[in-house]
Amino acid sequence: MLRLSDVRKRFGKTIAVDGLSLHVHAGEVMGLLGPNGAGKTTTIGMAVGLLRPDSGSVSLGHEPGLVGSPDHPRVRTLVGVAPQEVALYDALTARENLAFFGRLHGLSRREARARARELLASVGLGDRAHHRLHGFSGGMKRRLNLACALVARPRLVLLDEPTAGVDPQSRHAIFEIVANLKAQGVTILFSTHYMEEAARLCDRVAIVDHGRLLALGTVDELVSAHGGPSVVAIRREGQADATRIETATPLEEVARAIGSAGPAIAELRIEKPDLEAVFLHLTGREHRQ
Amino acid sequence: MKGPGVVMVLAAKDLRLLSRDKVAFFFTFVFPLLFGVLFGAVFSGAAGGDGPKAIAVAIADLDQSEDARQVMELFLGDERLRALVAQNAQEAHDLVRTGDAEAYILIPQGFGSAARMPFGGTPMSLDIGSGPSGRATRGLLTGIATQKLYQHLQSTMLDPTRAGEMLRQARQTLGAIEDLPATRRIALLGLMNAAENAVATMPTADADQTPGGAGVGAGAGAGFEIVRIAQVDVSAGGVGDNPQVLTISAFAITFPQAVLWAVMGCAAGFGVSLVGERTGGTMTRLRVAPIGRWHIVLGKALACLLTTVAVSTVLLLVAWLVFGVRPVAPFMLVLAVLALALCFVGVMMLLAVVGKTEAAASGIGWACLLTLAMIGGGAIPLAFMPPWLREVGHVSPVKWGILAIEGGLWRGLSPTEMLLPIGLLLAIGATCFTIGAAVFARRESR
Ligand SMILES: Nc1ncnc2c1ncn2[C@@H]1O[C@H](COP(=O)(O)OP(=O)(O)OP(=O)(O)O)[C@@H](O)[C@H]1O
Ligand SMILES: [Mg+2]
Repeated sequence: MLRLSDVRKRFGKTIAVDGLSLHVHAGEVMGLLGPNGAGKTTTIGMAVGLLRPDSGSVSLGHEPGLVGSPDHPRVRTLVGVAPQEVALYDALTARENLAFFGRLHGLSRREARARARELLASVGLGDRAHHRLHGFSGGMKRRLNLACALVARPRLVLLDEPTAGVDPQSRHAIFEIVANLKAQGVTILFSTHYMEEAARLCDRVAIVDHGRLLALGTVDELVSAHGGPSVVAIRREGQADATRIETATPLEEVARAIGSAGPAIAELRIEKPDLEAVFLHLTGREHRQ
Repeated sequence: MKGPGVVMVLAAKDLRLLSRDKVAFFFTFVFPLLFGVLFGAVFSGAAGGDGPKAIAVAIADLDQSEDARQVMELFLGDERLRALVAQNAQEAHDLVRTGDAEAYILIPQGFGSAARMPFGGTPMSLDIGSGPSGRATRGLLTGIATQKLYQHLQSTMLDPTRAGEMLRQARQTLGAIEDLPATRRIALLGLMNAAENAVATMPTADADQTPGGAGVGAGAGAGFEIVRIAQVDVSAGGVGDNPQVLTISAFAITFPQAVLWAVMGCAAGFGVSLVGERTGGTMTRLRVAPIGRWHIVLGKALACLLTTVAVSTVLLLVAWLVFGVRPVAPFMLVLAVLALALCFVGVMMLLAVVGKTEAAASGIGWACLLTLAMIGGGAIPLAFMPPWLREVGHVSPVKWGILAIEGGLWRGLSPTEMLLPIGLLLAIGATCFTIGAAVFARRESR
């Protein structure tokens, strides 16, 4: 559905993307995880033809005759993008925004209007259809920004940090939308900083930093390959602090503790490594700009 | 959707945005209309009308300066007024009270110094008073008085020594304004330099340019010129072969200028809005949509073209239906409007790439446009400019735009005569458009 082959992009002295290869399969949800400045936005930009790679190639599409470089308008007919920054006309109403972009994607006036109504309802903005964006909150704009990417029923959707800076309610609504798309078999690539989000929704996760792909796989694969050992924490009666045991086989460790003699167990916890551990392990703990 | 459809959808969106942008609407429509109407009224004295009965006014000069004396003479020489000279404010007041005069005009103290510093912050002012029943008269008088002040200002401006002095003061005032944006400061200083040079080459006031000397004070010849232009009789056809004589009203002069202001407003507005698509992020969406980059450019161009033609048409219709400026060559006028619109679509495209932010684009854009307007006769009729400035004006599309519009409106230029302004407009437009679109395409393909 989307294939990036060894793409590179530099801005002046900054190397934003440095020989990245990625293949997103049809129907798959892939998360693009990386710290600030890792090159996520640049990657998405190249994937949809907004930026021209300095080298390497991009190909997208899954129907015969619609495969090729995103430089060709026709290839982009099946693509929807929600940019990182909200990109809408403030002076237009919510519905006008959606209908306009629908028209650009080839919908008739009637279709565009109907689709706008449908999408507004699905992002919980049905009652704001005729309001201009001036008065919208950040979360409302974000939801509309996402809806705008879906206006032409794309088969491939790229979402650049769709949940940045929204409240838990809005974030939840956005999760739902992505889950719905996934159920409809839409291919999705989305970038994020939120690990739980990635873990929950993504079939596979790509971790990038400094414009390079550091790891790629399912969450479980990544955790077992890069997460490090699990930790079993046991505190017995009379102990102030728990004893922490690093182990690859936590259940066996627990069984052993229960079977062993000594004061009764007051508290027992298994800490499994998660995506965050993988992320920090791969990208380091130091701050980014 | 096919190409033309896409372009129309894009243009429709821009028109909708324009209709919701009060500032843009003001500059593309309200300001030009005000320009055409107000200056037309001032030039032709329409505010006073030529009613049959002269108004009896008491006039008192409380300032006794040279400027006050000159303005007094202007009033005395106006046949719409029957002026009674009063010695002081009390006497003027009494003349109105007793019914000998319908209203009074006081030239207040400090008038002369204000006249010497038109950019000094204190405007020239007159006090106009009437009895309770004289409201309408007062309105009428205000119109006439405004015209006199304007006339006086014109005459002083065309006196080299005084003009030089004023420019120096204006420069000081300009220096004192601290929060003036840099682009505007530079533009104004540039204008001022140009004006100073112009002043240096100006003939002295009492040279042979006073036509007929119709009872106006010395130095006011040029001021009178405006009025003369406004009422000049010109044959629309060639000399002698067309018996139909046409009276050119001041509105025939000011409305072509108004059209140019409107067209410049459109070019600036849409140019800035194209920059805004980039800074606002919507360019990303446009570029991701399955349309070509050229559609984006053409959509903006079409919106600009339609707005320009529509606003010009409305202005010219107002000039015709309200102010009686009937075009002598309607077909030529249509051609002129089209050429002008196409030209400024090109200018718009160039403005769209001069600045990276909307503020920068608007600042630089207006600085350029104002300069083009000044040297092209969009603010002051070319006839009042020194020869060298008129030469410089040849590079300004504003000049050719005004000539083309006037050509169809009242000059009655023949098709061959129209070829030059229309050809130049199209050439300037095509050049600007090519450069602008090329820069745009390059920027958007990174
Ligand atoms: N237009 C540009 N001009 C110059 N440098 C750029 C440009 N776009 C991106 N960069 C640089 O390229 C690098 C990657 O940027 P990018 O926006 O792709 O990162 P990101 O992963 O999306 O970061 P974030 O999570 O903060 O959005 C950064 O160092 C950034 O400064
Ligand atoms: Mg980013």
